Amino acid sequence: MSAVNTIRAERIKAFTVRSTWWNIVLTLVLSIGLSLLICVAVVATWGDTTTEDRATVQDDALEILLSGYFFGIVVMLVLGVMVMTSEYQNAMIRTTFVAEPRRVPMFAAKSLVVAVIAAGVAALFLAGSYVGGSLILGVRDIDVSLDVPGGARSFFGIVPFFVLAALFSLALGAILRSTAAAITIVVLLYLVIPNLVLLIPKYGEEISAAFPFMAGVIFLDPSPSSVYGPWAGLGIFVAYVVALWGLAAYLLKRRDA
Amino acid sequence: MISARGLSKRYGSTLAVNDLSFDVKAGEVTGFLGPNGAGKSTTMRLILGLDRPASGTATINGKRYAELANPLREVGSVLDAKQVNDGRTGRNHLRWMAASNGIARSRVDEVLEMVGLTSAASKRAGGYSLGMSQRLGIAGALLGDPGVLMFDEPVNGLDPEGIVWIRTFMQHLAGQGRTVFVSSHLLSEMSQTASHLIVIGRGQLIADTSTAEVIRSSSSNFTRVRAEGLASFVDVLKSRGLNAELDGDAALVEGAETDVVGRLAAEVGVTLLELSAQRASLEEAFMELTRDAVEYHADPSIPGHAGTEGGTQ
Repeated sequence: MSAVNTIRAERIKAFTVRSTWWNIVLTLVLSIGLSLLICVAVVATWGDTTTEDRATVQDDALEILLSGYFFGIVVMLVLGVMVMTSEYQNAMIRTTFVAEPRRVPMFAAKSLVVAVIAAGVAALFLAGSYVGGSLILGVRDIDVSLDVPGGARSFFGIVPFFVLAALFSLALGAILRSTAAAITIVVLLYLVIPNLVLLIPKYGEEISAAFPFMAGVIFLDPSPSSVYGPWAGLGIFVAYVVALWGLAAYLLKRRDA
Repeated sequence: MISARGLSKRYGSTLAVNDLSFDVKAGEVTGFLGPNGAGKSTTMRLILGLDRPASGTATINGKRYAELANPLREVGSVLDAKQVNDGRTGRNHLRWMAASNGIARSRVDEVLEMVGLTSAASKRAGGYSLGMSQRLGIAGALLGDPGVLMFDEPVNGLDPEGIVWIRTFMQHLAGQGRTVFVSSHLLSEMSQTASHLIVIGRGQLIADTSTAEVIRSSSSNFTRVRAEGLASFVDVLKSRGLNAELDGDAALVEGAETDVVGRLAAEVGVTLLELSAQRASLEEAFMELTRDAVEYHADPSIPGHAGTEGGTQ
């Protein structure tokens, strides 16, 4: 059972369930679609926009054009969860462990496959949003350039953000072994809790910034957060993913199947 | 060859498998027999490294399962009828299995043909009947052309046709010189497929011997008699050296033929009301064997068993 064989097996597994394809397509449609929709909205209301607001739009053009990632990635999280939890349907996981008894290498191969899918989807999102968004915004002569403060980071940072988000949900799926539970928790962690804790007076922002996905969002945000810098954000996100992945690998090895 | 040495597994306070040692020899069908809950499936999971034993070791061809370089090429196993993701087609399921162990892709269609699943190979496994799922499982077990095969209750829930197919198939596999280890809670089923039996109850070894020996030693025949003046007739039977005793309104005579008892009744002028041969079914015999499982202990002197292999590791 060489590493190459294990990776091939995990690649076949990932692409032979429909949910993977659905999730890839849906992530792209949602993220690119929302990005372009917002661009269209900006262009359509351009006549009613004050000069002052037009300047702001010009400054934030890149951010506007990438804004669709925030919701599109929810589907990417579902993909990460399902690549793992699909193993726990019926007694599938036993077949997996019988064919690939070295469980941590199996999980590593699965993680690699998911990371490559996430990176590919992120690249397609960037290409689609950039090309489509530039064309749409170009109608009003709004320039889109990476050559703005934090521009390259928030643009290319989408790739590690997608990869880390997918690996986070993969690991959560491995720990919880239930699609419903893992998706619920990951969506709560991504969309709900960090925004709810913002309501806490005084320390709300600090507490919110301590959550994994918020750290990732701070990394992507071209304008600096008041809590910590963008690279610290990436570091925190990575640390969360590494810790969760480690726990998942440990439990996979320990648990009876 | 499969070897278990001092294998134990505990779930909470329950000792599911208790110090189990046995060898499954090559080239024959060995039945793994025990009532439901005896620890058969647990033992098989321990052999396959799916569960961690509390103590002891299980090896296949001298290695722990996880140490096998390409396990599917050495051991094929079917533990559950449904061990595939519903969304995947049968062929794709076998494809990833083959890839994981470096098995040629052409082998996938070969094993599909072998189990008669070719026409359903492109259908999603969620739509398979139990029999088709079982066949897909067996196809997966055969992928790596392994010398050792393990099946856990393979006929459970199958229709008669499926049962006959599996039975014939297992004998066919053993005939090719493969080691076949198959569990069941039905002695009658095992008596038709297995030549050797490992019997366990409450996680402990009860017997490790040939199927013929198990059937012979555990089958018991009685003659049931009702007669006028039964008590005195029982005394007569006893005086003729027969093992007879009262059982309610009838008497049971161990082992005796109805002819013997009938002639004896005529000889002493007793009016018979009933005379019938009572044959304990295999299942009853088996229940008898495993009922007080903890009172039975592995007898290393039973012929045809381990110990000849050089003992524990």
